[in-house]
Amino acid sequence: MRNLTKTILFLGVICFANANEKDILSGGKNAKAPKTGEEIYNYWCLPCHGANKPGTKALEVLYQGSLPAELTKREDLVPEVVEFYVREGKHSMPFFRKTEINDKDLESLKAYLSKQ
Amino acid sequence: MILPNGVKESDFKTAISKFENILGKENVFTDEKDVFLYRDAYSSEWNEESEPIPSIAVAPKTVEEVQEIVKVANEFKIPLFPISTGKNLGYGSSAPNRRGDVVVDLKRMNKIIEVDDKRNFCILEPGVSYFDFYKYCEDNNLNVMMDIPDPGWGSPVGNALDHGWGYTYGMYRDHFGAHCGMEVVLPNGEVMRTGMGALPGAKTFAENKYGYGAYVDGLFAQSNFGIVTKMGFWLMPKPEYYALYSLTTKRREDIIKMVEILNYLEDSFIIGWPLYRSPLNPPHGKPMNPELESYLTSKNGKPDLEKIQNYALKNKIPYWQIDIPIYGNKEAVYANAKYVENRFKEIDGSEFKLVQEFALPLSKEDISKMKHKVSLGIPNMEIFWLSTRGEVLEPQDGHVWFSPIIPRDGKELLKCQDVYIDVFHELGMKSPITPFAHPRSWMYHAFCFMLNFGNSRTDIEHNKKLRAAYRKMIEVAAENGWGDYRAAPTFQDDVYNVYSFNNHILRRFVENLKDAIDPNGIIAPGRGGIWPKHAREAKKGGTK
Ligand SMILES: Cc1cc2nc3c(=O)[nH]c(=O)nc-3n(C[C@H](O)[C@H](O)[C@H](O)COP(=O)(O)OP(=O)(O)OC[C@H]3O[C@@H](n4cnc5c(N)ncnc54)[C@H](O)[C@@H]3O)c2cc1C
Repeated sequence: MRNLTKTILFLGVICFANANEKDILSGGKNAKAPKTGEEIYNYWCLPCHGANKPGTKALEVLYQGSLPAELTKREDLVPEVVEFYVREGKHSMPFFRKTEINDKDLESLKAYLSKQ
Repeated sequence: MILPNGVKESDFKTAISKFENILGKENVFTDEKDVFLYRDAYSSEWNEESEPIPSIAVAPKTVEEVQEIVKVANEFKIPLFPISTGKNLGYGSSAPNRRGDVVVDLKRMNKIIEVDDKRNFCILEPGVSYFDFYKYCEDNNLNVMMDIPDPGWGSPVGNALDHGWGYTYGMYRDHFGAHCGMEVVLPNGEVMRTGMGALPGAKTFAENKYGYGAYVDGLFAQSNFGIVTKMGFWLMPKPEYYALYSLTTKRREDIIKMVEILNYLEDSFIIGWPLYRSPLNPPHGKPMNPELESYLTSKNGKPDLEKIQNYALKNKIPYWQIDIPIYGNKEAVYANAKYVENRFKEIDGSEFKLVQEFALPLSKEDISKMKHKVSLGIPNMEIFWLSTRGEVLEPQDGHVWFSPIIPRDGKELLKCQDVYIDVFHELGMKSPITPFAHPRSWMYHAFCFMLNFGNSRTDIEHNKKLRAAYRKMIEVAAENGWGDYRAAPTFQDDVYNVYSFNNHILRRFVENLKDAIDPNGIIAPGRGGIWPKHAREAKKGGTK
């Protein structure tokens, strides 16, 4: 059994080495995809909706203090509202495709923002 | 269901099931709700019949999958439109040139294949964003930076393939120019590597551009000869020190001498990207001073240059301000700054001041203080100030850029202002260009003198007027020898049309290539004004 494992390991190394030898462009790491609701928010939303950022500034002018402009400070966000803006966009905020925020990620984002 | 051009519904259904076999059902988007996410959010044809909405979108993960998709597309003559991260807002976003064409969304191909901070290059797949790349370099403590455009969510590959620009030294700022080596899936499904990559096992894919023989990389940018699946880029080592200076001058004509000196300093690599602007423009979102604004139309509807100049002098507002970054080690930065200051002494009344300086590596706090994060390759989205709600502005629904290239010459800039102002006067529209509108200096041997036309997602009539004004601007600019470097799909034919030397020989040459390499016309019909034969013939009413 130990020998078998060794052989498999050995074969694995050989295959990998061969692939590499044949093609020096075959390696690489996938860019890290955000997973949790918070990570998804930080990756996709924060650059515009963080403190002092353009989306926040726009909402500040709109709400005139009646609501917090930073999304993470809102207590009234419900999942439907989050989904609406992610998939419909608003003014110069475009909508997000499923290769960017897929349905599962959207669920996490909705849960994160409506729990804040 | 919107069908791809020239494809029968029954064939398309068969093709869809083949796509699903290759990619898995979850990576073939056929539901209208999902397909609509591939509209151009900034389209100037929003909700009109001509709006280029795709039929479906497919999202491969590997080069082999891309090849398979292309083969199916050939079988059924289905036009495909590749996007990398699809963030080309203002120039088309993720939508195809033509309604119905199938989008190939490469966002899932997000491998960072290699980053080398000793030989200063990287190799990336199309779905890697500038944010991803930056994070990778920071997480791995690498001493390189990539020149980036303003919004950080786009991709080096997609941006370079639309001839995008950034903010450090000239040679890095030209993102297509800074690429080195490509892997492309050709219209027949074969994979090709360019430059050194054509040598199996070559070790300099991303270091030496030319390999041997004819240089073909240019065929894959702003065009439709293949789907790019990998690209190499040259990277800039992080400097030890960075300082931002500000130069101000008092008079409109000072720009002539300023440009001359800045050209010398830039082309000698003494300074980085000069950010031209005029403090006569109010800060974003604030109204222009009413007195100054009145002078913009006080001479029979046109600007009164003398009154504007006097207003600036009386109120001690500099006419021009240029932000000038200098890179190097601390001693070199200071020495260069001294030299730059001396060069500008010949302009009467000019002032040169240090704005901010940083030793690298930067702390988080330094980064948050930085005025132009992009000038050290730090991606962000702050440029979206431009179209979000200011104090007096209704938020825009987005914009389409009009982006002509003009000579890097102050006199020509002033002439350009006059010409634009005249056009808008004739059109009876408020001119977005003023006698203190500034050039953009990304193109390191030319200026771009751009306009941003606000589009609407609710007002079709507004968009129609926008399109008429845009097309008029293309014509007038061309009459003056200025041609656009980039445009949204709606205007790509118009732009290419004015590049007409010798009866459009450039376009005819490229069309010959297109017919030979992509006889079924399946890759991005119309992109960059290049149409496959059958579409050209259909446009002319058919040859037979
Ligand atoms: C406020 C604002 C500021 C901006 N500032 C800048 C700036 O400073 N500099 C700048 O350059 N741009 C700027 N832009 C324009 C745009 O946002 C960026 O250029 C963005 O990086 C382009 O998106 P992308 O990288 O996702 O390209 P994509 O949308 O993926 O690609 C662009 C086009 O290239 C083609 N293409 C993409 N990938 C492939 C492929 N793999 N094979 C074949 N063809 C392909 C497609 O036709 C596609 O439409 C700005 C836009 C806005 C809204």
